[in-house]
Amino acid sequence: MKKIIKRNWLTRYLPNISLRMKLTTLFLMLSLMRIQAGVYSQNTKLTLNLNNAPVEKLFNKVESVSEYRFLFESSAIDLNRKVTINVKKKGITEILKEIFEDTDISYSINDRQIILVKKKQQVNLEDKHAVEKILVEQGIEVTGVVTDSKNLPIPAANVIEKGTTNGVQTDLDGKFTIRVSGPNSVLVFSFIGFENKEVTVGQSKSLSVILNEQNSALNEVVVVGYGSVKKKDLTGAVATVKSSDILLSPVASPMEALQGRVSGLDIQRGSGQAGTSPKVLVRGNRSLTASQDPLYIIDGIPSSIDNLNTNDIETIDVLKDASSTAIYGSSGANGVIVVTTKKAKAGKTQIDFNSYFGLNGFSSFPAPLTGDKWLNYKRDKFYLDNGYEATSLTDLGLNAAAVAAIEKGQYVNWIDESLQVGIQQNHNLFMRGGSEKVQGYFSLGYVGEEGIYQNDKMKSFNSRGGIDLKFSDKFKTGFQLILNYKSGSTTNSRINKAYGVYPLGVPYDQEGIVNLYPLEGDPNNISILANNYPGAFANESIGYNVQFNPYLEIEFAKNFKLRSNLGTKFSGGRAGTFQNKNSYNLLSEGRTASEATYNMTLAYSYIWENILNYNFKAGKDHDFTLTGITSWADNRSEGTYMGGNGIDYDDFLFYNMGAVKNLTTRMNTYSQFNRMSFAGRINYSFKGKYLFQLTNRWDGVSPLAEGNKWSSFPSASVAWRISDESFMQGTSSWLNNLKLRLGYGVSGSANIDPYSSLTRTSTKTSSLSLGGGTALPMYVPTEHISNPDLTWERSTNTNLGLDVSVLRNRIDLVAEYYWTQTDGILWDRRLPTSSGGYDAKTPYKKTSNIATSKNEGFELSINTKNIETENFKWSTSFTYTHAKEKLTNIDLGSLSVSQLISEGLFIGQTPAAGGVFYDYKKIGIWQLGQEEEAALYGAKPGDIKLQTVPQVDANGVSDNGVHVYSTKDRMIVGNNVPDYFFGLQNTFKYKNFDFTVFVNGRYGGMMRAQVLGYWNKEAQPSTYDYWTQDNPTNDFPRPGGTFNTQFQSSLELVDASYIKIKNLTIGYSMPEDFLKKSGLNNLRLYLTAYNPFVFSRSHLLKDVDPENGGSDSFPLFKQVIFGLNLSL
Amino acid sequence: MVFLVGFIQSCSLDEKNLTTVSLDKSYGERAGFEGLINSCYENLYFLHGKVDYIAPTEAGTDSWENVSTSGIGYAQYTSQLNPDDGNIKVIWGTSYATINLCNTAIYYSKDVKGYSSADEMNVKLAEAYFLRAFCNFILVEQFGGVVLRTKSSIIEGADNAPVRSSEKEFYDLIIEDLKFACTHLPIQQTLQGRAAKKAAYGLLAKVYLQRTRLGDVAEYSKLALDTAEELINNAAKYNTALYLSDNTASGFKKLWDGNNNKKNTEFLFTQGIDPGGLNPEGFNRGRTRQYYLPDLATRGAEWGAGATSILYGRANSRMLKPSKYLLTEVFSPVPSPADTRFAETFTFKFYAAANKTITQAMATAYKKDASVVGYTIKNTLAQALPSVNFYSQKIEEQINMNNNEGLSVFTPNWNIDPVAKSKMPMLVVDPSDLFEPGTNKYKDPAMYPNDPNLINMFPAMRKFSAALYCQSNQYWLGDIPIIRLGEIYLVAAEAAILSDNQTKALAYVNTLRKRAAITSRENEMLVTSADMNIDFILKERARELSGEHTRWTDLKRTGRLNKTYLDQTNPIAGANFVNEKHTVRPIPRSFLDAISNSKEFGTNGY
Repeated sequence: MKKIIKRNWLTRYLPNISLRMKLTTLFLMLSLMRIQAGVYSQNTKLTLNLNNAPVEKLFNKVESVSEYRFLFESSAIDLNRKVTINVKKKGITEILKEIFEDTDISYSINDRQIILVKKKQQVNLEDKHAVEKILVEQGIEVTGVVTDSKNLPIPAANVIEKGTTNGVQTDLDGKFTIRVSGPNSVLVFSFIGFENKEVTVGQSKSLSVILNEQNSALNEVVVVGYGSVKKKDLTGAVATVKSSDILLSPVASPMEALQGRVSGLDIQRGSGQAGTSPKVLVRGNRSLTASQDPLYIIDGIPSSIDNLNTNDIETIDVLKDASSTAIYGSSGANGVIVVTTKKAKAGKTQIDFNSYFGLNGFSSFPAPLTGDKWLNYKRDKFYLDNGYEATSLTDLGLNAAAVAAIEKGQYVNWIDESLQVGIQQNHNLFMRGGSEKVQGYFSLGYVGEEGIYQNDKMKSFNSRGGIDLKFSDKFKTGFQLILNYKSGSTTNSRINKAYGVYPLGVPYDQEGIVNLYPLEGDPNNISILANNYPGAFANESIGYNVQFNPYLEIEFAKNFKLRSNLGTKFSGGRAGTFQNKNSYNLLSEGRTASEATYNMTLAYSYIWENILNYNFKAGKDHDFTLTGITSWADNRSEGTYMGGNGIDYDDFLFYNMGAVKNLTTRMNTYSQFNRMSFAGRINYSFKGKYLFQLTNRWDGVSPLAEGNKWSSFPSASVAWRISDESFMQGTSSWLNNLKLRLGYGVSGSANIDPYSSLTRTSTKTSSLSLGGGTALPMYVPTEHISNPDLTWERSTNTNLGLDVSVLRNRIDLVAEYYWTQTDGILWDRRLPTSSGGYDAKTPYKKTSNIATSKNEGFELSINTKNIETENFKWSTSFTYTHAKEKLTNIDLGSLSVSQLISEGLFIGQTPAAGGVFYDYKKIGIWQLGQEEEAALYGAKPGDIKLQTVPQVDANGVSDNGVHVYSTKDRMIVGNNVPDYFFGLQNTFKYKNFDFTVFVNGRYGGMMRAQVLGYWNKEAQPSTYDYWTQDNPTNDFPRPGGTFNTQFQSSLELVDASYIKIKNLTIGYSMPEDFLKKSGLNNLRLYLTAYNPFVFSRSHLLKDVDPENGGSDSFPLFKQVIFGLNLSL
Repeated sequence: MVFLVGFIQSCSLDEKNLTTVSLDKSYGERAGFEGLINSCYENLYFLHGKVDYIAPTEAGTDSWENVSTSGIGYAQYTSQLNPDDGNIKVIWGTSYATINLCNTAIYYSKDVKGYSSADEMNVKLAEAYFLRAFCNFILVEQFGGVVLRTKSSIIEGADNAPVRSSEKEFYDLIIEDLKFACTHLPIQQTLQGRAAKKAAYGLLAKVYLQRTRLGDVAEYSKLALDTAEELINNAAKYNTALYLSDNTASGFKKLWDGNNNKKNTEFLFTQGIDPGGLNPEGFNRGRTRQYYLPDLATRGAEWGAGATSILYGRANSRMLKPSKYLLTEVFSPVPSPADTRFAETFTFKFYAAANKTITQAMATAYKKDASVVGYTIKNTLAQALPSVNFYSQKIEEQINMNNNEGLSVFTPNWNIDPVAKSKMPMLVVDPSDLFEPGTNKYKDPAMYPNDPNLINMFPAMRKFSAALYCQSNQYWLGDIPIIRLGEIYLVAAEAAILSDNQTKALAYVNTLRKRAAITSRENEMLVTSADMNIDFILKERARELSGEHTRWTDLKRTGRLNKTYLDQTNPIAGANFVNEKHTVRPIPRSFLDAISNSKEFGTNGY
């Protein structure tokens, strides 16, 4: 039926999306009254018999018997006007002519679409023959007016006859006059901030041209849950990132590419290990239990983002506030990330090829001490450890082999020896096309990533394809098929070993093979690179993922549609490890029996969703859309694990577990999670200016306790397009959009492990034989103690949003402020160990709803077009996020929270587990001359100076913190939440060159930097400025002794602020004539430096990339890549 | 609508977990119940043969000093011994995890199906009572009166504000549990790691004796004596026996012989280990020896010893070294004593893992006579037969063993004449090299700048390292005795002394002493009833039981865990000792952090 523009459901499934977006373009043609008759309109003949029926009925009739679709602004057409028509096998033009003759409606046909608008001005239809005659003889003079979409004139716009130098500019009223060569001439209209428009002159002498605001964000379609709306009709907090921005980052994980591009979305890569996915947090930490991951919806189906090639992505929409996510109920509490992949369109077949190739590496990490500096360090350390000076190198723990190596100057920087430069590549081919009835697409992609350790690599093959079939106007179906294969190998971290060994020896032999014993003559000093010895070590995995997602769409009646989606998934993986006597672990323990483990997992799930949609209009100004949803999800996984040792032939690796003589581990895993949901939504728009949305979702999940399984999650939101109000007309010359949004909603989470609500009995995976040769059965209670009260964690979110576009959309601003309160936060409480534990080292856990947290934040994103000329363009995007999060209450019955240090929970601090650093706080190093004062704390010059916690004795007398340091001096030193973070991108285009600089940063917050944890190791990092009598530093204490080791953990806590130049890209697009000659649509070559410069606020972190939060097992690296984008 | 109806009917939100069963079902049946009893043993494997149990039971006594900073909190009672210490956390966790599993078994024993009679079930249940007593005994000795749990937290929930019980209450429950175990446990179990009657009697005897430190000495020493005698006098009935000497080997030597390890008649309660790896943590077992090693990695390696030796262990985590008191006062510092216990407790001859020719530089550095330069210490490393090493590893002491031609490091507990010593072609370190004359202290090398620093070359405690079960340089897979009959003789003797029955005490002491010598030298071992006092017993216990995790509690029981005694025997352990504080361990921080009443509960003074 009528494709009324203000809709928000399912439009993304419709093939005519792009046409709707071009609606304004088509308005132009109306003034020409030029009928574009396509093949369809020429061949289709209709028979209609209607007497005194409303126009609306006529439209319905036409749409029901043909593929024609009417498009119009609902306010423009009087649908109740009665018409009479009786035609037999007539073309559409004749019918339209009959109906709209003598009305103020003009029409235009674009293939199957009939666009109706009010005539803007009367156009004289001159005698066709006369016009042609003039045109042929002397060219023609064309006049016209250029306006924006609000009918305001655009002065100084360029009007150029295409292919010539013939051009003029519009006057102050937007009017122009130009003489062109003939009716086939094409005029190109352009103006800064607007999309260029080409118009064929045709028979008309007078043109009325409307230019669309360039990239007009307002008309972009934004995906919301189970549907989509135009950005101008949005009521919630949703941010969109387009494929062009995603493709800027040469990363394997699509989410990493979003870093800094969406305000409120905190993304950090935690490890440089190949194939690692980053940590993603939407609007901060609210929950305590492990998963804060957002929900990923890919093409309507909850899926893993890791199986996507970045090249397959069309857009990513991030749903941030509860009014947007509530439709996803429990799954959406951590935010929803909706990914739309590239699909086929009817028409020309399109082929894209994107490819890049580059290097990973250049990871800087401090070198360990070597040479005399190292020996001096060892002497300093020895003195404090032993209380007397070392008299020889042997005293220092150096044996003859080490002494010989020192004499030969065989110093080794084991950090350098551990790291390599790897290769990063991504190649993707995408083909799509089709007819009106059938469209299909497929993509093939390959991603290869090599990390900075030898044997740390990953490669993945991704393919996805789909077909959409339109049987009739009422019935549409299709499916998507996804196949992923991933394989990789990894190795153990070496960095943390590199500071623990002598910086001595010969790492490689003459053939370049690792020397297992780098110190000649010392069989006890094992190379930390032993795992790189041929055949010594393997840790390899493969994974696959198959998804088949069919759907069908039925239109039962006018505006009443059902879509049924089925998402099925079958995935699994195998991980195998092997190590023989030459591997690091076996070599250092003197074991010789080769070891292997073999692990297989299988996951299968399906989700079935039905979406019922009905929209209607009540009166002229009231638009309603009703949506009903049912959803059923069933996820299961199984696994089997085997491990043992004693393999006679290393050739088996882990492939022949039958050859393992001692099978020490054998176990199965099984897990099931079910969810059932119902949801409803009402959208109401009054005059397009006042927008309302109400949703409710009822969710039931299996992990919660009986009686608490179900909950409902309501939300409401409202938006007011202030700029559309009549009183705002005076501002319309500069204010393009002003919208205020207010949303309120409840979302829930039951993000707990399945089976947490009930204690059951499981078998122990470890072996116990009590000395016999047979493993005995062990039946132990599971780790979780029953909690019959376990229920939902619920977040209540209020979001206030403001959208402003000014200066012909050259400045586009979105600001959000939100408040979230989360109640009943789920927490795996570790029970006091006097009540036992799962084993000696693992306390029992009870999952309980114990806490309340508050989150509050301000988010800003600004997009500007700073310079916009034909040859030079400069645009800027800026995102800024400021968020506060804290636990406000913890309820554990009789327990007071200040005593729950073991849980790491602190009121007023970040709710995230492990997010608070409760430790000793270093305030410096005791210096010479402070001996007396230091002694009060049990310290000496060169020792760590701590801030102490005053102790109050039984008489209530405080010692003012003057006492010997002890565990009582632990305090909250900080937490890992930044005060703010931001991203700033500048894009420059000069002729065919483009240049992008992307900067991001975090300010505030603290981290535990492992790289600062090597104080006192065998060869601590040479960057450590450590205290000696001659070096009164406050960075690191003197090495050795027993005093400082107790408080060593305080050395690792450091300010986590940094700024990074994350991306530098320079690209060159081939010029038009080259493309024409070569038959290409587009060819762009580019060079990117990714992650090239890092500036840390703490001087202690120089040479280190702090983004991974201080972990050093797989340091982050830099990349340089070369790529091309090609389309045919 | 059709969709909706089909949808609702097909869906269920019930949890299915196919790898678990319900508590009632599993523990209501014999298989699950016995599986639960099995699991009660598992956590005990975190103690013996693991680092966490060594320092807390042996260090800080008259016997050992720490090496460098490892174990210093226990050895010297420094500030490192605090609630954050990792060892106490493991001991605490092990004890309470086991107790809770035992409590769960005791709860479910009321109606478990599959036994023909309550008696039959009690035979199984008695294991839980035994293990509960075993763990409560550890708790009360290490931590004093802490939380006495008799309920399963699985059934009745956790206690967030636990309160302390008195040490006497602990003992009452321990004794009650052990009486049940003595009554119901079988004489013999199929698996050596499972508790049988002898384990219960052995533990009960020890418990009664230890209980005397709380008073009622006459009552409890008598009970201890009676219980010990029940075992000693009916050893055969309880399927136990001392190894006795013959003229080539002492009984004590046989006791530690790898060939006797897996069916050891003297072990009353055993950490049973499967050499094939079917153990908690697999092969990662029996690591005790590496914590007692001398510096084979540098000094030893200079003389041809192997630091990551499979036979001697990996010398990278050295922690404890013998005190002068232990080496030279407890054991007689003579070359060839009748008492074989020094030689069987310590390795003092380390053989070369490679040929090593003595250079002039070595001779100079170690003040050797020029005559040894050019001498080659012969490699002794070779593939062992399966009868020598279960894993057929390459180990030392396989070849070139004639006339000590492969001896690379020699650390006797007797002094050797300096001139003779300088002419011996190996690294020789005797007490005169280690200790400051006239004191019970190790030397301060700073005071001897012209001598090689040899204070880390000492005899290595070797009880848990029979060559047969050395699997790697870290793992040893022999069974570890937790209680053995030899100790019960000393329990009997001590109890007899407390009961003023010196004659009886003498008989038990001499029986044990005689089997420490080969038969031809038995008479040299005999002592008289005049020797029958607590100090003698303590020394005898050190000779017999060094390294067997009893020393700290022995001192505690006999009132010797005090500053005066430690200052006298092992001054480094006494320096920081506070009598009122250090007889119990700190309460683990992780526990205190998790309860609501941590202030009232307290840290035990730390």
